Amino acid sequence: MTETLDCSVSTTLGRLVLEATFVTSYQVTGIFGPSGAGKSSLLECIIGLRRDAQGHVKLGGTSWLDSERRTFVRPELRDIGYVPQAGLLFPHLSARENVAVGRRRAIRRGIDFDRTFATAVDVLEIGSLVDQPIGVLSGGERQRVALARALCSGPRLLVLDEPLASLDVGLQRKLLPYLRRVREEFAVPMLLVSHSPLEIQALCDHVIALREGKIVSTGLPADVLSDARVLRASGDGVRSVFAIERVPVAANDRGAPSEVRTRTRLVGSSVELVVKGRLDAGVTRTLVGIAAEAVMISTEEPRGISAANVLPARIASLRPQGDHVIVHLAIDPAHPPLIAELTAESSERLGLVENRSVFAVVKASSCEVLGATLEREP
Amino acid sequence: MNPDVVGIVFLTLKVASVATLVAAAPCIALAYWLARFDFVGKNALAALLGMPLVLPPTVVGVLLLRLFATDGWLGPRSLGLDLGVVLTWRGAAIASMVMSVPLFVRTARVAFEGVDPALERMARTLGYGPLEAFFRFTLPMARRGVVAAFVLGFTRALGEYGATVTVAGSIAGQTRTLASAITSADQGGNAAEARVLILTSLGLGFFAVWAAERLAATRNEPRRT
Repeated sequence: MTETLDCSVSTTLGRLVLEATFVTSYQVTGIFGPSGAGKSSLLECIIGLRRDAQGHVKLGGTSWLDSERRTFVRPELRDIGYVPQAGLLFPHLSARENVAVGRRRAIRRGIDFDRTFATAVDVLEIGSLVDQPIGVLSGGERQRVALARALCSGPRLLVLDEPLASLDVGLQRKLLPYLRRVREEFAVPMLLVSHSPLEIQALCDHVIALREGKIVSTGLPADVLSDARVLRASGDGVRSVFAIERVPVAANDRGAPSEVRTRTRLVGSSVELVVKGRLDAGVTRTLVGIAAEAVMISTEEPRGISAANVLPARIASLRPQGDHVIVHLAIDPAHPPLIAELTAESSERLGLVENRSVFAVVKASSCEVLGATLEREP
Repeated sequence: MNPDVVGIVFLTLKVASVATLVAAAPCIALAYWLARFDFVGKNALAALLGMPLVLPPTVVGVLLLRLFATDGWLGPRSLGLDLGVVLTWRGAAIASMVMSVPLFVRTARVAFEGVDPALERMARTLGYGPLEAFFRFTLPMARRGVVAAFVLGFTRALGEYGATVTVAGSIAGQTRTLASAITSADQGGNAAEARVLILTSLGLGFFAVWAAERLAATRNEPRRT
């Protein structure tokens, strides 16, 4: 069971006053917001790097901060695995030595360091990097080593501050699945700060949206990220993210595997999705992103249509957003909704209302595979 | 080799080593403090520490002499005991220490300023207290500059003349270091001894700097930027 993080902090950041109160028991909680919203400062209050923080921070039964009782637990005693934006590997140590920095605490907390290390090396695919000096590693490799260091330090809470922000977009997408695997392999509660809706959707169970030092929305990623107050703050468009798996090709299946599209289905579901491109050999699970504006809605089942995906769906919610409407389409109970963005005019013309059954139409080329792998065949 | 020269070299090394070793810990602490923290009077303190660099060494010598003189603040009359500084090797060590402290602190401060404080905070989140973080991470990361500070401090003490002579004099076998021995040999017309002493100084200085380069170069991986 995930330990509950109970946090209510306030601190002054120049002209901005940060005031955030939240309780979460989810495995991965996202903190979303534009830059300057106070996200990193909120993390620093939780980690113990801000002595001036007021309020309280508790994880499970442990109090880390209680300014009324003048409790302030120093950062070295909070048992937090921290991965900042720029990794911050120690330049005078090799990758392996960097990871081993947290060994002492892991052992103190009764954790088998060597086993955790082996798992982290495997999950993050850093086996060939660990004996390199830090200086020769690329940005993405450094972030993976920094993640391994945090994971192997026996943390009770993982705190990731924009772990991918310093990398270029291509690399971000490559690393995203590693974070997904961390989430699946390590049962440590995680706080993830991000300004990327994609990262939030791909990784989080619960999101807290922060704007100018205040929480403006909390809830499920799909809900928070299509909330008008949050949307206005984020430059990126709305996008749905799904975990997908390859549909095994039957021996008698007609035609060779295509170069331009791949048959997949939502993980653990029968809903199929044809996605753009070819999955790398051996990849069984990955993530797919679908931009909200690329999703069309039809009230009748379309026939004779070029789009590869016609998905039966139910309208879970309709939210007006200026002259647009954000529509959440339930396509599978175990997965987040598919988000569509329509003009208010189209929505009215179709007579869309909540709970109505419709069809979502998505071209395979709008289903973009994000990064490499969640899982490979052994 | 001339036994006098051996004695002089030995005394010089002793004076410079004692000066550097005694000054090392406070200088490192001071350098780190100046590099990391802002406080009222920081610039004034830094300026005061830099004074021996800009003053004629004899001024420093005379001030020290006054300080340790019979009726000085640290003299026998005020303390009630004689520290045995004036005209002794201890005086030479104190004088050369005062002269080398500014170089030591300055160099070490620059080295600490080159260490990202975020790395220290990172060490804290990985379970290391402030002192441990300093000794296990900050100091090793700043080692190049700190070794350079040691060497600069040591070589400054090795060659110190003005302040040392003023406080300790140039008593053969007691306070005559390389620098003062060269002056007396040269002025006393003893060209051969002066030559030996000069060559010895060159050798010592070269060895100190070379050893420091060696020390700092180990385990320093190239950094890709």
